[in-house]
Amino acid sequence: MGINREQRSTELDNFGKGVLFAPVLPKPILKPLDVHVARAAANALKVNVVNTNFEIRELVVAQGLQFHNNDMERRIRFLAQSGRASLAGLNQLTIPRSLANDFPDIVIQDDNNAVFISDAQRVEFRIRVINTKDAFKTALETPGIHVIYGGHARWGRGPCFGPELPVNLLDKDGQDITGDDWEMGTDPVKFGIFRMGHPFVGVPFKELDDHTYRMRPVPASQKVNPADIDKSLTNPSSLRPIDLRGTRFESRILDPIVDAYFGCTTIEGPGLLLFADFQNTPPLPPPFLSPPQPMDLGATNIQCRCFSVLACETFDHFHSILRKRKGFTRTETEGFAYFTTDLSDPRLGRAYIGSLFEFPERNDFKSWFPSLEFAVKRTNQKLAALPAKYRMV
Amino acid sequence: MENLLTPEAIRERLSSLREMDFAGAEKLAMDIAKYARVPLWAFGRLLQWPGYPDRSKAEFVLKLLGELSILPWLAASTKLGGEPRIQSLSEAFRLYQELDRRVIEKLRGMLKEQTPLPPPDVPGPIEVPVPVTRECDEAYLLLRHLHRPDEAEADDRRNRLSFARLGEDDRDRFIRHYLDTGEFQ
Repeated sequence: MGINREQRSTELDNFGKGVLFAPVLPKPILKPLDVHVARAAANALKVNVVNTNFEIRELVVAQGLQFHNNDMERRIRFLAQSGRASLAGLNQLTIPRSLANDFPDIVIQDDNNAVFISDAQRVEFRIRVINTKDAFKTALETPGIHVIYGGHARWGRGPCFGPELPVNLLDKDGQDITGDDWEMGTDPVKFGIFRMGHPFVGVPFKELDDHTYRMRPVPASQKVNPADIDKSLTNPSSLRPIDLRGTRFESRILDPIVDAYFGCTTIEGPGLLLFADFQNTPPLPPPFLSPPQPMDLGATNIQCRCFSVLACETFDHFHSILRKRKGFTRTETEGFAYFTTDLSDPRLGRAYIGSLFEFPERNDFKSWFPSLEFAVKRTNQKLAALPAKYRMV
Repeated sequence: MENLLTPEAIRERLSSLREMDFAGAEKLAMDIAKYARVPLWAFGRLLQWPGYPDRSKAEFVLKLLGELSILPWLAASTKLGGEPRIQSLSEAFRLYQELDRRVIEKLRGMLKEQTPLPPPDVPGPIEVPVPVTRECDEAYLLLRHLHRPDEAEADDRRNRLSFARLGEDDRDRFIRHYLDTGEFQ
């Protein structure tokens, strides 16, 4: 509501001339300017500030191994050659380009950067795609941003990073999915698993055969507390000693070989118990180079405002680690974290980021909580419509 | 009332929907709901008016509509008080129960169907295989959920996943136990 300045002036004039009736004062305006103000204390060496800008909200999207934009597009093209996928699937899963399908106003700056302005929220979203472990760690340590991981959960070991996958026409997806980037990383600073799992994770032999990486199995002499095993995919009461000498796995054991390791039963048959602790990742034995400090959750000072882990069953794998063991707690304005309930897929990134944009109320310089809760609810509606069985929590 | 959404129009709009076009799908759903719900909404409004002279006729027509009248009864209950409110809620609940009974009957009939269900078409690489279930498994899980409406959604999902990951023999044992005792393990 604006002030009728002329009427007000006349009233004041009349009052000044001794007219006996009291001037009708305009109703107080609750918020005279649609801006945020900061008033400096008297005598302070500061000035009053009026902020007319939109809030800038940075979304850092970390794309894991096999989930790079190019990986997904190449896979679809390869599958389309044999009729196992449709070319209509191109540009539907990439971030940020796929978002232009739902939000024509988004400004795509390049394959990794975009800006979307929500007038309703008065928020400018700046999207940045990263795909290395060190950039991911830096993002988690950056105050006030939203970090979204999209990729594999590596059977509960943590987000996993790597370069774009080389072509392998013999593979069912046309991609070479072997090598150390599926575990410790060919360059442990940039690639491999960013450990944020339980101390011990069971991994089926099939997975070890598929990716043929070097690993650190748990010796049977190690004391293993069942509470320290990720139970979502492994039966913790199935541990039994097995001998890996002379097997196809012997050459892939990083540490000096011992007589017995813990075998276990996973949801995909027999497997091995591997070290996966979110903290105190030991240095790699020579001749491998280790990063100057562990690239794991334990060595990360999480400062981001929200961390969304979009991979398979991340609630079961990582919630208790992040919230309880790491102590990333939520306050009214900080420490938000969201997970998935079940086996997920790459459609989730587009659905979730789009839902963040769709929050219909003003939200600048306020707690993100209402907009995040809206986005999760909205994403779950979209997942139900897709249809997909998993949900965000 | 003119029905603008003919089967042809719906087919046309469906074919023009792009992949993952949530906004377009929502618009179509809203249009369908608009045309489908207008008469029901009108009944709900009429029932909210305690002194409506043709109330008994409206109730008679609604009873003929069966489960389609759940929404009008629910809508009416929001504005009514006392006995009329109890009456409309009881009617909504009775119809809901009838629907529930029919669903349970169908699901129990499916508990012997061993046909494997095709895994979902996931557009991307997955590491952990999606468990393959049979018709009887899904029917069992739905029945369990229907019998435990208070169970938190997250718990239900976790139970679904762990059940689906059991071997066929174990799943059959759970189903047999339900058929024998009427209880879920």
